[in-house]
Formats: sequence, structure tokens, C-alpha cells
Amino acid sequence: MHKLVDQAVAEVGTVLLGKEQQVRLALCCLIAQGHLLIEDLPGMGKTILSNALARVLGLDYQRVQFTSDLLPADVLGVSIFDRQAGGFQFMPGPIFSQLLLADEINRSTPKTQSALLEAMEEGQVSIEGQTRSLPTPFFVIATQNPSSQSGTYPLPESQLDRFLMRISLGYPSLAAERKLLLGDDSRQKLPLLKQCVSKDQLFALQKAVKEIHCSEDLLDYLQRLIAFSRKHKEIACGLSPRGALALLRCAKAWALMQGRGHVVPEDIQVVLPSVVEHRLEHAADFRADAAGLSQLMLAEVAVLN
Amino acid sequence: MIWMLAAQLLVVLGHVGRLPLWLLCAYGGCVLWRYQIYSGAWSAPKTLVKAGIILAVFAGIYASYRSLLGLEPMVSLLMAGFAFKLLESYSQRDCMRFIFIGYFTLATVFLFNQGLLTSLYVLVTLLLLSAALVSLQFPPHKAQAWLPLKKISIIFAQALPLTLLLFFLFPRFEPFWQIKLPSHQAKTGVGDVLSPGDISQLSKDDSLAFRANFVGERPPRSELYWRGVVLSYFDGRAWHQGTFQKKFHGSNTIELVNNNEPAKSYQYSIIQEPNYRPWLYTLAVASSKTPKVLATSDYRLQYREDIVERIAYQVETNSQAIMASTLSTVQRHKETLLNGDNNPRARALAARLYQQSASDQAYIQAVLNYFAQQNFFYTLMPPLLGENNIDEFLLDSRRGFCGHYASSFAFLIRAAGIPARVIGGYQGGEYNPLTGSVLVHQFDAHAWAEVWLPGKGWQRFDPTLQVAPDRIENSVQDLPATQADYLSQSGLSVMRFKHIAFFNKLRLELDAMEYRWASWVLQYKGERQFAFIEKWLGAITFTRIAFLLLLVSLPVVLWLLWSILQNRSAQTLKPQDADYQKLCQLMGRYDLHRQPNEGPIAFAQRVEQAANGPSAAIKQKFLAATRLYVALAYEPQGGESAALLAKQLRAELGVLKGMIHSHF
Repeated sequence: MHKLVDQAVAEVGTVLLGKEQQVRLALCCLIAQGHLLIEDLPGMGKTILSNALARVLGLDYQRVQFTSDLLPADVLGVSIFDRQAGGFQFMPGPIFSQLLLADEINRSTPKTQSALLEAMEEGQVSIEGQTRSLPTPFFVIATQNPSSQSGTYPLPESQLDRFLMRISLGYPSLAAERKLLLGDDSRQKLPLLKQCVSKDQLFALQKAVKEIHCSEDLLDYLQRLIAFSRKHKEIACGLSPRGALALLRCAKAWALMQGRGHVVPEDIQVVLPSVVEHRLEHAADFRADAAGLSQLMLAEVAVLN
Repeated sequence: MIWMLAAQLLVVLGHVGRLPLWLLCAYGGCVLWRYQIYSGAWSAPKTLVKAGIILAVFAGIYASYRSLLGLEPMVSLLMAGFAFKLLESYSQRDCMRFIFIGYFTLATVFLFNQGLLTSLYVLVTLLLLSAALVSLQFPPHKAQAWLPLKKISIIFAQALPLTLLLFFLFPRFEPFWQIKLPSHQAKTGVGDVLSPGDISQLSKDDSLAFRANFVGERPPRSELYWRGVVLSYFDGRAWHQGTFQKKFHGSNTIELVNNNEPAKSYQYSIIQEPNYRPWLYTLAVASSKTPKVLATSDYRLQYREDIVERIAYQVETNSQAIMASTLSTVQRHKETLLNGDNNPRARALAARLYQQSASDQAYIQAVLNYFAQQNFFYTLMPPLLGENNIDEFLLDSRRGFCGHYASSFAFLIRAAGIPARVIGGYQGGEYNPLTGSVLVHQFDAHAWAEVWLPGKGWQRFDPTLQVAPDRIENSVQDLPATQADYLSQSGLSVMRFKHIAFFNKLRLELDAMEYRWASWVLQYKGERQFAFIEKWLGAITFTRIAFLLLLVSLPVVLWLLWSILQNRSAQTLKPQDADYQKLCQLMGRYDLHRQPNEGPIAFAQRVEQAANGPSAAIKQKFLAATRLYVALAYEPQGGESAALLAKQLRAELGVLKGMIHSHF
């Protein structure tokens, strides 16, 4: 089963050069049924990644560019009076798709952000008193600019928590960039990507994640990590139980992608930075960034008893 | 940093009265400088500047004390070092050193004073210093500003039982060595030279000289003549202690007067404050069984060495005993010797009075009457006297205090060929009803005379009584005529408030506490300690002490063991974990150490890729063993297969051990 994932990674790799680890993490997040937040500067390939993932997984794909004047109705949809039918007809918004790319989510106002995030959590939206389910599978890949840039509304912690993972792509390596410069425009290649994972296979993968074995020893390690985040003085607020669950889910998905039926500490260590960094906040007196905190957790917590 | 500064300030405060002013200013400068370094305005001192500072400090201390040796210069030097250390304490290590110097400096406070308040001050400072030490271990955090103090208080509280135990049981050793430092602060006390003008400073000193605790009856206040020093040698102007009197006298027999009065004896103990002399103060005629307390031939008690710390001794006084029923010719000569031919007018006066008297007794009375009838004034501020000081005092100025009266009285008696001498000591004392002890202060210092009469021995005569009877019934401070003088000199002293009942009570309470501190804590050593232990434990035997120590320490040890075991059992390694860790330790032979945060698979990969690592066979074995461990720890296992895997892991470990040992 993990071969499917390898294929998908390879396929995305043809348009997004040299970012295998990030692609894997993104897939891991989707397999673990979570939403993904990509934080990076403009032009680093965020859109290409999400577009390619949609194609490879065979999902229908919508993209919304978030701006400061975007309204919740623009995302969720709106009822319009149809003169011919003589009544109101609901025009579904872009959220009614299997994979929604919410581009630059932190450029919109908190009102719109929360409308989207609520839909992410519930899997359904209530519009004009009527509850409508979203399609399955439903993924949101949101991108955001570093919040220090001007004209951004940073997402509050409670909403960051809704994203299972946060990754950043970073600059490509020299070799990858040279290849990029020599090659064709990767946007043109996008429609050519093959679908590697069918919808049923995706469901099967998601189901298999839940069956991955997790031993007592591993849970001990996980709990040590959580406890460390809660009591260490450099960390203002530690991981919530939701954060702990997210870490376990991602570790299981990663183990599955590695073709293992059980989780090993290395799985946790691989996914930990992506899962916890946006959930941790450093205490006021310490300047270390969140990446430093996750590295601290990894460095300080012993794997074995 | 704040803790360090606060602790240092307290340490410096403990010495503030003893340090030269410039050193305190230098300390203030250091604090300022350190603050400027902290805020980045100034830079740290360069090596050359430091060298300059060192030289300046040495020069300054030499200039202040005229010597580098001695207690005060040494302490000043230490304080200066402590102050300037502030300028070069940056890293944690520096700061620790700084604090340790602080501990040492703090201990020097005890060289000067060991009273209750001092001990409390030292305790507080110790707490603060230790808090500074604790704060070094914690990065500063606003929300936990008091954390170091809290922590150290807990530690202190934990240490308390052990401290008490050691206090009661730990043997007090005499110091193995002693350095006699010339003290520049020789405390004014009763001097061994008396020439008019010598004792005037004493009256203004309200510090405690000693305290006496009577067992049973207490003599009336007018009988409290505490003899300290006997001045038998007159050099023409001043009275000195005779050289022979400094020798100890082993067989000092005390003879009872042969009359019908029963022997009247008093039992008392005295806690003597340090006076930097060997003199002990007792009522006549005293004997003592306290070790190191020796009797002298002039019926005094004397300590074997200078009293530099508070000591306690037991005395028994027989007030009816006579001192020296006979005088040898040599002694008689010495006790009547008037060197030189000074004071001719006084001699003439003596001759005139002696001629008019029928007997020696009558002559003495005539001299006393002379003091009573002539226009003598008692004052603490007598005029300076010239060459013939006794003449001038007796016939011209007629103003003086006890020293003037005693020495001129003794002069007049000797001039008539009757043995006489001057006694220095204290008179009276204040009875503290809270402790039942008599407090004798420095301002109670007094001088009187003794005259030898055949058959009666040395008899006490106090000519000052003839002048100012109030002087004996009340102490100096209550004397109305001198009160203004006295208070204007004493400055801000507790005694000043004596007339306000509340303050007087407070003062007496304080003194009572100080007394208990002295008698129970400071004097708890040697025999007293043994007595205390014996009281509670019976005879001191090795087995008993051992048993007690065991009894006390056993619960502690058991509790420790229990808590350690408790911890251990919480962290008891599963056999497979222990085996795996042994496996990893084997790799240590190849300088491959698994980091605590390194997963087994990651470590196995590292071992596999290690260039200078073990041979391929060993690598393979290690990988296989790691796989077993991973399967055990992280894969779903039934009970039986787990046991089997664990066994295999154990076997693999054994094999690998063999392979590696054969390799080395």
C-alpha cells in the first residue's frame, strides 16, 4: 500500500523539484485526514504543491485567493433569486470541493478565516439556516505568508490548532533550482500529472492509518515529549491533548508510508516539528523561535526510559 | 544579579562600623561601576587599572591602620577584595566564586561579635547569599522573582534538624592553632595603670562588661565591689600593677576571721565579655574551680590567657575571709613604697594628719574625713593635672572621679607608712529581674583602695563614698550633676531612654535574650555539653553515643533508601531495555554512543554507516539485535512471542559481547 504513496510522491516530484520530504509530509497529513498549512514566502511553489497533490490524488480542486475584502459568502456560497424557477437557489461556493486551496489565508479578515476554519472542523456548513455537508474526502490546504509581512491578519492559536501540520517549503537546493531554470514551466506540466491514488485507495489508506500498532513503549515516549512541552520553562503553553492526538495520528500515517505496521520513535521524530511547531508558543522571556522549541523537545527527551 | 548585590550589601553592612570610610565609598563606586557595565555605558576595568586598584587598596589600608597585619586590616583587605570582585564577576563561575568569598567574609563578623543579634544578622545574610547561589541556577524570570529565596528557605528548613543534632552532639574542639593578631581595637576597660585622667572615657561606655548570676542570696548593691586588678606599685605619679602580682599563686590560702560572725559565702557564675586582658572580676575573697581560671597572690582570679571571647566561670566568694593576715617584710616594703619625692604638699598633709591621730585606724578615718569635709567635687570631666598631680588634686582643684580619690587616698595612707594599694574594677551593677542576673556595664568601672591592717588583712576603703554618696547607691548614669555631660557624650544610646519605662523594659528584655543566647548557645561546649548529654542520656559511653546516632540517623537513612527504591521501581528498566542499553554500551567501544534522544533505528543506521566502526559481522549482529529490540518494543506482540524475542535478544547480546571482547 505504501507503494502507492511512493508513486504519488514521485509524480509530484516531477513538478516540484527537490522537495521530497515536504511532499511526503503533505501526503502524510492528508492520509491522516488533516488539513495542511503551508507557510512560506510568495513564489516558493505552494500553489503548485497543492495543485499537484489534487491531481495525483484525483480530487476536484478549487482555489480561493484570500484578500482583505473577501466575505464568508464568497467562500461558502450564497442563495440567489432565480426568476425562472421563482425561488432562491443556492449557489455553492468554492468550499464545496474535495481539495480547497485557501491561498494566503492570513490576508483575509478574521471573519472569513473563521468561516472557513469552522467548515474544516465540522465537515459541514450552515448557510441560511440549512446545513449542508461538504464532500468527502475534504481537505484544506491553506497557505500563509510569514505574519511579519504587512497587511496580514495572523491566525489565532485556536485556529492554528485546526491544522494538523504546518510545513514550509524553503528555497530549493542549487541543483534543483538549476534544473528548474533549465526546464519548462512546471505549470504547463501540471495537467499532465497522472492520478496515482484512486478515491477508494485513499479511503483505504486513511482506514489503514487507524490500524497501525502503537506500543506502550512508544506511548511512553510520546507522553514524555508532551510532558516536556508542558513543563519546560521556555514554552509558554504546552501541547494540548488535541496536539498529542495529532502527533500520534501523523506518526501512524508516517509509519504506514514507510510500510510498517507499527510506529517507531523515529516516526514521531520525523513528523514532530511539522505537527507541534505551530501549536507551541515560546515564553515571553525567550527569543528562540518555534522551530528551536521543537528541536529542543527532540534533543532533551530520551527515547528509552 | 539582584540577589548578589543585595547579599553583598548585607555582608558589607555587618562590618560597616569597622571599615574605613574610604573603603565604603570605594564599595559604592564598585556598585555604580558594575551597574554601568551592566547597562553597557562603561567598560570593564582593564588589567592595568585592576593592578592600580590593588596597589591603591594596599596603600589605603596601610595608611588607615599603619599596618597590614592585624584583624581589622585583614578584614578590610578582604572586604576590599570582595567589593572589587564585583567588577570582574560575569560568568556563572565568577559569580559562584564571588558568593563563596561572601560566605567567608560573612564568617569574619563572628571575630568581632557573637551576640544574638549578630547571629540573627548572619543567618539572614546567609539566607540571602545562598539565595544568590540558587538564583545562579535559574535564568531570571519575572513571575518567579522570589523563587530562589523560597527554594533556599526550604533547604534551610530541611537542614535545621541536622544542624540541631550536630549542635547538641558534635564535640567542640579547642582551636588547634591560634594567631595572636595585634588588635587595634583594644577595648577600653579597667587599665593596669592608674593616673588621674585614665578612666574618664570608661564612664561613657554603656557596653556590657560582664554579668553575674547568683545562686541563692545576692549581696546588697553597696557590697558589690568587683575586684579586677590590684595596683600596688606607685612610680611617683601613677599606680601600676606590680610585676610580682602577675605571677600565679598556687597555694592561696584563705583564712577565716576569728570572730563570731559566721562565714558568709555567695555562689555565682559570671559570663565575662571579651576584655582583651586576662582579668576576671569577682567579689572578695573568691575562689573558682573552673578550668583555666587561676588564683593570684593578691586574691584575684585571672584567666590563663587574654579573654578574646565570651567566657563563663563559676565563683565562690567568702566575704568574711581575710586577705593576708600577715605581711612579710619585703611585701610590706613594696606596699608602702612611694617612689620619688613628688607631691611634697600631700606628704606634708599626711604627716600633719598622722601626728594628730592616735592610731593607724584613726589616721585612716582622718584621711576619709578630709575628703568629706573639704570642698571636693565629683565630676567626670576633671581638669588636667600637672607634675605633682596628687598635690594639685588634694589641695587645689579638688575635682575628680573615683580614680583621683582612690589613688590620692592610697598615697596619703602610704605616706604614713601604712600598706595600701589601689584596686581597679567595677562597682554595683544593674539587676535584671527577668534573668535574675546582675549586669555590670563599662560605666560601672570604679577604683577604690585597700589598706592592710594587722589581724584584719587587706580592708576595703572607698574614699569616693565620702564625696558623693549617690555615686555608690546609684550608678554613674543616674547621677544628676553629671547627667548632662554623660548624655551629651553618649550620643544615640539605648541608655538614653532609660527613663522611659517602655524602652527600659525593652532593653532589659533584649538583654535577657542576649543572656540566654550567651549561656545556652555560646557556652554550650566542653563540660556543659557533656553535662547536657549526660542529663538526657545518662553516662556518656561510646555505645550510647553510637546508639543515639544510629537511632537518629536510621530513620533518615531508611527514608532515603525507601525514596531511592521508590524512584528506582518507578524507573525500573524492563529486561529488554536493559539488554538493549548494554548492547549500545558495547558500541561505545567503537566510539559510537547512542544519544538519549536517538531512536534505535536511527542509531543502528549510524552504526551501519560508521566508517571506523566495528567489522561488518559485528555490524550485522548489532543490526539483527536492534531489529529484535524494535520488534519487542514497538511491534504488536503476544506474550509468548515476546518472551521468545526477549530470550533471543539476550542471546544476541551474549554473542555480540563475545565477538567484541575477542576483538580487543
